Amino acid sequence: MTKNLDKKMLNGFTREVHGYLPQIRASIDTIHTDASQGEVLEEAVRCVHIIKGAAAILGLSALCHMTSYIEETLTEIVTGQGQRDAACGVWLHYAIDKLDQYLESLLVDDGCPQAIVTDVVQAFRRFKSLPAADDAAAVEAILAGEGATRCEQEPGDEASETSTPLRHNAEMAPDDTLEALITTIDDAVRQVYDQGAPSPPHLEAGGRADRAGRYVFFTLAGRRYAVSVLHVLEISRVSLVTPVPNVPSWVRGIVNVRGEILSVIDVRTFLGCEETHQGEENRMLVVKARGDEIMTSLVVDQVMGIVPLYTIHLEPSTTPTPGNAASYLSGVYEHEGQVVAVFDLERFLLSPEVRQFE
Amino acid sequence: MSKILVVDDSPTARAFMVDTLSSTGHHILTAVDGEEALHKASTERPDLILLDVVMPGKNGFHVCRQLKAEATTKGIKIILVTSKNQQSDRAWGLKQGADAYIAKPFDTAELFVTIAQCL
Repeated sequence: MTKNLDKKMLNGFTREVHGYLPQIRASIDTIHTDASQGEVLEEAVRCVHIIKGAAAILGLSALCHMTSYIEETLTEIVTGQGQRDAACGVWLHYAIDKLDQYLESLLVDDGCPQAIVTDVVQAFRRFKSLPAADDAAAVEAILAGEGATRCEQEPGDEASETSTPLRHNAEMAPDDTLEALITTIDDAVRQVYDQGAPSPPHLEAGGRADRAGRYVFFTLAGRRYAVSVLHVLEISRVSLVTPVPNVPSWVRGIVNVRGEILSVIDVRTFLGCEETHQGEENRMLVVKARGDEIMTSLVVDQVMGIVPLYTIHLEPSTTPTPGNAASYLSGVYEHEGQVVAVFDLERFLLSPEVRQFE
Repeated sequence: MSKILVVDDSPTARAFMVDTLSSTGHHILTAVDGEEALHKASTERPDLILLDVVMPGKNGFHVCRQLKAEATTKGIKIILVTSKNQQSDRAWGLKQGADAYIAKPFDTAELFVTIAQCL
């Protein structure tokens, strides 16, 4: 299987992996002995992730798959979703030993070490209580992927390599960004209006009003709010929040969003609305201010959608607002017959109260 | 000939990328983490950065945001190269200002085409 994989590269990779293994093994030993070893386990996840990435780059997809099982198990433990028990430690040690064996077999050019892949797949599936009946199909799927990789091609097979369809080529077109997609949707909506559909309330005659931008509409205690999409990096379900001691009740804790540790602010509680409403429909907005200098995440009751607003006419809010919300509103806006309060996120995030926990 | 900075904390991944890209005639530089990437981006002024995401210290998303926010480095093209391959990771990467996103494992031809599109 390594006919086409540079031996020097493979030797280097094996040395690199052997450098990580003692640390990973030591981390696994802490799983059911010391629940406070979060940082040690996170470092182990990073080491495993490096192995997975390097294996993928070298075209060792079976090894990449086996490593992803280990990464998945460790990540579940780090995030509190997995059990820290002896069975977990046994499975992880077994998988690491097999990974080591797999590398050794590659170095001696021992053909495709299919038996090792089968062992690891079976062990992982038993650990996860998955049915044994599907083991063979899982192994086959992994080995089929291995067959498509660079290292399995025969010398002189370059033509098939260059003719491989570019998996992400269509997706990677430069203009195929999220912004471009949204603009396309906006333009399509505008075309419908241009073709005679009733114009939205703030679209000027001729259908070419200045666009004030897109706003994320959300609700808090039954009222509608809007915040410019330029401040919003992500909208997601409320993920696992780690509580932090000695903070106000409106700081739910911290959350890891793609490697960034962010405070989680319960906006409803912060604004002094009624008791926090926690439900399935709650959403977390990852927001930013002052460029990228300030980032945090906000929990809101519900996200209604992203709405393009045209020629925004802000008026001072004269309607009563719950709690101290009025301090953070830049005005109100009428949208489809409903009053929407526009939330001044810069003012909110730069307020002394929020800054101390940002 | 362009200058390409390869950023990855795995020595194997860096060696592979350097080996693969050596045939293109481009000048290849490497960095082992986010801090070194930021330093070399401002001192070496590469035309393109192939940027891993999961790294110790500043991760690839962080480095990308920082480079795209600086007037002197925002013109540098950035391709995120990572084994985080969910659609949400891709969208997030592009939202940070990356010019393209390649998921590991990738086809060598795909890498070359994406680089050509960026340069």
